[in-house]
Amino acid sequence: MHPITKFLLRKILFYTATFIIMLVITFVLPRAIPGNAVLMQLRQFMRTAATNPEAIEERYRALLSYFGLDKPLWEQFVDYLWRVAHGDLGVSITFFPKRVSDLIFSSLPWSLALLVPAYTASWFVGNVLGTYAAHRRNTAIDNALFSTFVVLSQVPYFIFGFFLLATFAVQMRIFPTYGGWDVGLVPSLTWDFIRSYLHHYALPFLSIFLTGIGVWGTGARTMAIYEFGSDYMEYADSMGVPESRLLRYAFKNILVPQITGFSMQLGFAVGGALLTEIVFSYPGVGWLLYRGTITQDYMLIQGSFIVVASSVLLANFITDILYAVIDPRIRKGYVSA
Amino acid sequence: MRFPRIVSELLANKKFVTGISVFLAVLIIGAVGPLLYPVDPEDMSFPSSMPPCPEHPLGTDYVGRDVLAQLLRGILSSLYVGFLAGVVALAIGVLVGAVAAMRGGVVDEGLMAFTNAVLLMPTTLVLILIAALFKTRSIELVALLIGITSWPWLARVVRGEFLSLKERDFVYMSLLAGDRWLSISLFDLLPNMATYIAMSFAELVAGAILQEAGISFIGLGPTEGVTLGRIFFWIQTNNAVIRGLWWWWLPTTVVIVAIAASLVLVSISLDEVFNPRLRGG
Repeated sequence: MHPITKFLLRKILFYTATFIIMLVITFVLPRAIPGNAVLMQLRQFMRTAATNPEAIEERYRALLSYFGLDKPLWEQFVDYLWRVAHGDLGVSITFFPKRVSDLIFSSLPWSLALLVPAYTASWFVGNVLGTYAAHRRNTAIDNALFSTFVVLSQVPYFIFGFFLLATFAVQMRIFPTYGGWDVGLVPSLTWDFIRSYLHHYALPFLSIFLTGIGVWGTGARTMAIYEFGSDYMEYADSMGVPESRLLRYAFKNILVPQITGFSMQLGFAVGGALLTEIVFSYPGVGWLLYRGTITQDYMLIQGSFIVVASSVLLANFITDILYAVIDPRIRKGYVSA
Repeated sequence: MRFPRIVSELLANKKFVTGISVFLAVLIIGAVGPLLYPVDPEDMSFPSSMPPCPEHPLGTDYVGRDVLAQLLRGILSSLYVGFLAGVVALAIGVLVGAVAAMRGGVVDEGLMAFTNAVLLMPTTLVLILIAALFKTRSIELVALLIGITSWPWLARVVRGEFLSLKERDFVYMSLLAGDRWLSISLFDLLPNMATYIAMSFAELVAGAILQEAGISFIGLGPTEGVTLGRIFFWIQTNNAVIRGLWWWWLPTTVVIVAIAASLVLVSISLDEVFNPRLRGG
């Protein structure tokens, strides 16, 4: 078999298995933990039943029919797979009678528009700055960059968001404090909307972009220090190869492990980005999830998990394939010792 | 006994000294603070949103609780969460990594595929998904949940180290002497990874403290006690940043970043001191 085909088959197998594990987990959890979501919701319904008995009855039935607890377990599982395969993630309790999938898919583009550019840009800038710091190791520039990286890498995006919000929105009033666009506007491709959106977009973007630089910078610096200490670098340096070219050599070599890092960190970054949306009330999945968690809307939480986890899996799958294209060792079927 | 040399080498490393001093300072503040400042962090009887003043050195929050009392209590609880979660993750990570490397074959393939699968999951969302199923959550439960979701990368590192160590001569000597793989793992291989284990533990603790802050922030952290994460939740639900209550959110963010950054600095400095390729220069 051609090495590429073998590589692809392995990857497809792995990602399919992971996807199934994920679905099994989401199926088992609410049924395995005592005091589970359905009972919890039921209790809540009883509490509010006095105000609007009919609406509550309806919601309770929607929840019960989704979980189908009266059926045998295997039938529940087949049902569940069938529903997920058809994009049916149930009905939201908080936003009754809206479908969870509709709610999530109308928020998802805004989350992607925030995460993808910010995460990619921080990866690129962090790696460039990290390589540069490694080359200037133990100089004032390196010390300054390195300490900034370490501190930033330990600031969760959402906490950095507090600083930006307080400084640029509350104190200086340059940016808005709330939402994804001005009240009264409807998402559309008009200049007014785009300007308003970018105005609201700046601070959440910077929260993720600036803190992300820290994570990539620390990693890149350590890797590039190894690289600059290797024989070919010392040789190139003694040959008088200009700094810019040395930096390019090192950058190219740390790129491969950092692409793995890019996809492995993604799951973590997604969580952080969702929390950042909450700080700015940015209308993505995180903001939706926040409103779901404070009202204990388990259907919404479970649906968000399935959609986000699947997206992360898909992104990883794509990166793995890109990786095979970039790294000649995989393309030629080289197996590391 | 070369212990003194290790100590002097560590103390000569500026990153280590900075990291450990900041961490110990915060630890001492958290341990002694509540005794020296015995104000109930959940007492809401004070005036609301008061800026720092002599009676309340860090002011009061939106619902009239003393911020300093909150912060002091939060430091110790968060360190406790970090420590517990760190121990849980360390135990699982070392066990999975070691078993995978020593057993090899199908066990290795299976365990590593599982590890990689867990690694791909968005951890914060997994925690949200599980935490939402519990009506009440103790600090220990939250720490346990964080621990069982944060071991995968450690398992990968431990496996790699074990694989490279198990082919060394001293392992063959032990095998010839009749030792079993379990005792070889425990007494020959693990001590060789002591630095790695220490580094990983510091990073796991830092990661767990931040993770607790994250899930508490979205409202699914501990339902009792005061952790730094719960303070962030209160800050969010009361719009403290927009209301300009800087004395509430600023010290809390500074403290949590100081804890996490100091631990990571210790981890980086251990690498510099004990890893010959990074030493000097």
